[in-house]
Amino acid sequence: MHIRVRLSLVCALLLGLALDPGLAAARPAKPGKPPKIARAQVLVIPLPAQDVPPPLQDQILASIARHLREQFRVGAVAGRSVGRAIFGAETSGMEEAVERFKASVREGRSAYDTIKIQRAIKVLSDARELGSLVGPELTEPGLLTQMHLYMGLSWLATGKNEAAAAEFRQAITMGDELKLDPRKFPPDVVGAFEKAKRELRSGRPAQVEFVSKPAGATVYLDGRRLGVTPLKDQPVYPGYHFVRMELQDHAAWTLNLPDGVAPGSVRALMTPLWTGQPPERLVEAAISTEPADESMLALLRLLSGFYRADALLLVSLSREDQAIHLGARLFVSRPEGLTPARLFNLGSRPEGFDKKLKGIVGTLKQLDGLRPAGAGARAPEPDAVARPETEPETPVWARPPSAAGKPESDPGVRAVAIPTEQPPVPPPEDDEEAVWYESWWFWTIAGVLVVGGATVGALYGTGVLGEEGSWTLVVQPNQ
Amino acid sequence: MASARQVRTGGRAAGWLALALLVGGSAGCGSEVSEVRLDLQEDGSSPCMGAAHLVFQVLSSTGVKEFHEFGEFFRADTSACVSGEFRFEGLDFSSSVQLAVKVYDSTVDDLGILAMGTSQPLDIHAGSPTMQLVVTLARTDARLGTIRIRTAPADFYQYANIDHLLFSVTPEGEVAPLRSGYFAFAPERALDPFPLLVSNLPVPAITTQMNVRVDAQDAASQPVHTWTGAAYLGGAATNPADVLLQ
Repeated sequence: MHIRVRLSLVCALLLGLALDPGLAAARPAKPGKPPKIARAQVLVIPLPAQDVPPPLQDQILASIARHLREQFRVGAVAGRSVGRAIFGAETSGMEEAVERFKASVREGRSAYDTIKIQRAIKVLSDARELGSLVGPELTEPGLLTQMHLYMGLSWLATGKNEAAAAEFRQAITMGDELKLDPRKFPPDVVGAFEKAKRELRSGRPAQVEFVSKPAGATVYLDGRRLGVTPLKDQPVYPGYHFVRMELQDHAAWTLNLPDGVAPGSVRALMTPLWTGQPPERLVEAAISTEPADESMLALLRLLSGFYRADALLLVSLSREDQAIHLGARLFVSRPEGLTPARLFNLGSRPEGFDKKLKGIVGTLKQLDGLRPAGAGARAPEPDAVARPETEPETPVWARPPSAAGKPESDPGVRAVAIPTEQPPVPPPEDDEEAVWYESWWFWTIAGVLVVGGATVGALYGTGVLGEEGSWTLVVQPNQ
Repeated sequence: MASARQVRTGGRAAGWLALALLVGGSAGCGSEVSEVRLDLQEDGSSPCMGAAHLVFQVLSSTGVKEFHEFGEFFRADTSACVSGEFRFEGLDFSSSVQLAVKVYDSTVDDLGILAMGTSQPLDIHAGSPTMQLVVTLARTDARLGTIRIRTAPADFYQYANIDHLLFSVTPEGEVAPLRSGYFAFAPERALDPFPLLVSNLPVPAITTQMNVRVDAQDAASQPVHTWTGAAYLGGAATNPADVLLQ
């Protein structure tokens, strides 16, 4: 066996050992010490927002989730699919927008066919703007492709060849088998189109895997059905794309992939559909500074129970002129409380949002109570249920709420008896007994070294990692 | 259950081992140049008839590298493939490297693809011995009829602003061209694109006049000049058929 292959196998073995749960389980637990409490979960619920572009919503929600995790050490789930799961798609106005988009594409095409080129450009420009909103909602192939194709044809007719080529490339990347019929289009048009196709295909497509949790979701890329998750090695050419995943009893999950090379992996956490009535009252309540009445609190309890979240962050996004406004209201289940709504102006520069959102998340001091014990915060209230340490950051969804609206306890989960009284802030874990091999940093460094070593070894072994030097291809002369 | 000492020892050992692997893996690789010699063969379907553009693609896990060579790559009397030696240097080592060769005439659309061939995958690493590889070219369904514009029209170089060249080949007495499109022409690369060949044309049973039209356009697709000429294909006429543009 080649030495590099042997090296790879050794590395893979090491990697396997490092990741073996058995090894992790071998970490000594101190006798008499209760298991650690897993992170609390915060569910960020975006309220329907029609005037904020979806990519901007994605950016803001992702930023909020990240700051929640970093600042409060909680698990955070955020995304437009959460809002869709709770409020349904009807309130978003998306269906109407999809119909308007279809009509615009039809009209643009008709305008081009009747040689009303300027009209075609205007209508298709409008369609493109609408397309960025409704793109992920499309489940029929060809609409986006046609929009870009006819936009390209229109630009070509006005002599804007570069703009035409860009539109053609986008049309081809969205519709793999797209061809222009030479009997219908003049040779120069077909030539320009074929040239764009060759330019695009001179590069290799990204091989993308699509994964969902739970698996079995139907994946649509730019309206084309790709298959059912998990999907591996799906070729995606450069350009912008829309991803949609659908799973029964779950909200559709969508993603706008920006222009450029697609990432190697698209992972969706599917959110189960809220089984109760759409909580429209929540929309008003989210921007209210009034204390909540009992029925509102009951609704929030039900929601947090259904989604097994320890806190709900209601987020409303709106746009005034160019500025994006964010309203936030926090519900914490234990100790129960609902903060008044607060409104923040994020400004108009998306690149500055993250910094502002960090500050906004920092004001949610009520989440301090959800920090894991040992992180310098209060311990949970009685009847708290500990999640197993292996539980991922994302919550385990999908059991119907119990009658009290609380999550049913997991039979495999260890319940922890916590003193009824509010205990003082616990000291850092047994300073005198703390030994380095129990520290998180030791295991992080060891893990990084082992995984890094194994990966580098495997890459060298398989020759994927670039070796120094190069080779030369010599085409021998013929006759 | 493992004791604390066992875990400590195991963790430390794994860390050192990983470091050793990193160092050892890096040290084993020197700077070397290997060579792969490619032999182009034909399958008997006259793959190179009308060939004016060879595309060599090196496909590997690190991506695709493409090299283009322009010229006339067939013998007019036998239609056999003819090429000089080409060297493409600086290719990255990789596993499962495949070489693909595409043969085009002078046009840029898919109808201009005359033949293709792909090699077996091979692993090329530092220190690999010189390897011999064969790619057998097979003609696509492209027809064998070929028209050749050997040299530039006399006034071609008077027009400095030519950016692209359109062509059409239409049988005498007909309106619809048999083929039309763009020639591969990049003035920044080579001012003289000739000879220009249009293949994938029918070879009629009787000699037929083919009217050739070449339109030069500037970068804004505005017409610059038009040249025309006639070639004869089929019957007793030679293939490729030469045409003089005026």
